[in-house]
Amino acid sequence: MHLDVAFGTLFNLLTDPYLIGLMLIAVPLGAFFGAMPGLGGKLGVVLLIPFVFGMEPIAGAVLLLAMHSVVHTGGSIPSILFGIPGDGTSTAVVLDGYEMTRNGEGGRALGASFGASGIGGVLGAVFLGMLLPVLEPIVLAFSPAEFFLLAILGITFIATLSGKNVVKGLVLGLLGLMVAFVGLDPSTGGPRYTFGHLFLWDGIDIITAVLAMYAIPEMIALGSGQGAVDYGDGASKRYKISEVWGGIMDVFRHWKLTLRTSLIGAVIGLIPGLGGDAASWICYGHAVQSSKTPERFGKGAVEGVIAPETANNSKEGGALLPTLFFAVPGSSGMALLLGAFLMLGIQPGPTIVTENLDLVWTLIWALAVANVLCVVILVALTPWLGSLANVRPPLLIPFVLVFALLGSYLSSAAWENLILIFFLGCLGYMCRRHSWPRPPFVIGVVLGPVAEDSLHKALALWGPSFFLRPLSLILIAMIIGSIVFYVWRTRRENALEGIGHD
Amino acid sequence: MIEGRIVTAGLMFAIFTSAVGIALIYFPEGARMLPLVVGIPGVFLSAIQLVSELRRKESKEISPEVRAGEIKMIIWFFSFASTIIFLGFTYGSPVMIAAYLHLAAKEKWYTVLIGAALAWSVLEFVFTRGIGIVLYEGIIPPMFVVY
Repeated sequence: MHLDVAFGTLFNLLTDPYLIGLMLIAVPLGAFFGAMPGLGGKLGVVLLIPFVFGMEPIAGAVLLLAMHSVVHTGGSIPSILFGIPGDGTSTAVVLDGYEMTRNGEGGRALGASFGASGIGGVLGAVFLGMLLPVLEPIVLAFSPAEFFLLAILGITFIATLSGKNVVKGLVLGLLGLMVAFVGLDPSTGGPRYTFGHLFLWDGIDIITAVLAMYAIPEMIALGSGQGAVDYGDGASKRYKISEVWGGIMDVFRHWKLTLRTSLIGAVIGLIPGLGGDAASWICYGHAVQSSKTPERFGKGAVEGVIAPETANNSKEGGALLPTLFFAVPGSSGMALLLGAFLMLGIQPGPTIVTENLDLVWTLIWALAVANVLCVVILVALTPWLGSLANVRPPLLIPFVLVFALLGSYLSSAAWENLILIFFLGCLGYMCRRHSWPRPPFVIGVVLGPVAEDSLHKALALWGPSFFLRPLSLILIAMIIGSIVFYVWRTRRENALEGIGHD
Repeated sequence: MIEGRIVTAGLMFAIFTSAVGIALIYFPEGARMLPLVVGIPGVFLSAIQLVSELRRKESKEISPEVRAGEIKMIIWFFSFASTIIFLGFTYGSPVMIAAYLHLAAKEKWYTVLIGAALAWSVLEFVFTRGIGIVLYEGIIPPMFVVY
């Protein structure tokens, strides 16, 4: 293990006022965006993307990752105080967190949530750091053949994990791949789907595609009244720091549960597409199952807050692993980060272990430090958290639109991107409106060039026999396994629904 | 009136069919392999989805207010993009932010002014002077620059 690099980067991060300053800006912003129902952390990253142009790659990556990593911590605030999840991953916290608020224990619930999120985030980062030495030889053993299959596996995974809409998920995943083929063909050099426009010769950049699929549809929905929120009676109440401290202590009182759910969350984060909601619900279920008094859950049990919150933040450590080492983003948020990393000149993939280990460790530590900073900042802001109900998200719509357009323009310095983002944004809104899962599209756009480049290289090196390499066979088995799992799960759900109807 | 879910599925089918057609007709042999490998399953899957949407009878009704709001927001988004294309970021952004805050969000005049000034300040002082980025100037402003 490269202990010198590991601890050297931690020292550099903590003693560099510029990087710490960036994190101090990113963390409250991330928590704020996470805490605003209807906005969400991805929009926060969208807003920050234009600001990282011209930054050093490490500084830009730290800024964006720090923001992204604390979004879920902020997301728990409206879940607990108002019973309104800030994002999908915070829904499990509502069950017991909001009950605690109704029982007069809102401050304690907030403390448990902040403490659990902070510890979960740190343990997720530690988990990733500990996996590095194990992972290094595995990553380096991957050849273009495996990278091609890994890209296909990534899309299959995410499409099959898109709930009941697997056909829609696969269609959008394939559409993402088609979008990635726009530009000059790497083997013949001929233009594909450029329709005579020079700006399309470099392809449709990831940032424009991601902004169009996420930022624009959310703003259209918010502006058309679909994100309206009723905060109810819990709004504007003041909470004492001493109450929050009691909640933080609860996390240490239930240290075994905290450790277990952090580990479960980090492992779930490793699997592309599974993170998010799954991590928090699986850990909530684990907390109920492992409790001696499961009847308390749903009525204000503090463990019901601790378990999903640790998982929510620890999964980010796990999700960073496929993103950085295989360029397979584990979630749409990670896809956005991956796009931003590419824009900053950071090339995720196996070579990052050998060529950019400093950056990897800096990001791991940034993940841990941002989570700690977030806890400190949120605890200090506790008395005013109820005032969140007074913020009007629709006021932010014009700013998000401008910054989304700016990010899209800056990503390839082409004004034509402003036209492209309009049409893709409308497509994104149609997808959102009619329940077409958007993550497979983004993953397709991100993985398309990797898949194509790897396929050409693999065919040149081994011909079609590359499918018979041992690692390729394992990956093919995993692709088939994920589809079989999906079919089995769907049939089982249908059978259960049938029993329910009977 | 055709429902949005059918239009969406139909659009996907049309995109894949056109993409496969273009690849077959215009691309040289070496360049068409992957677009066809991806596009043909796309045609089949989107056709399956389209058929299933056409067969489905039930659909979620949305309120006329939400539908009107959607159209308004798409028009606003189009206005933002086109104004910035014509006026550039430095002038187009404050204009559109002020217009949105005044006309759509019905904010007070001082909020409108603060919003526009904030947008202009960030673009001018943070991006142009701070980071040193050359922002898109638009089509119209360069016409008035005397060289």
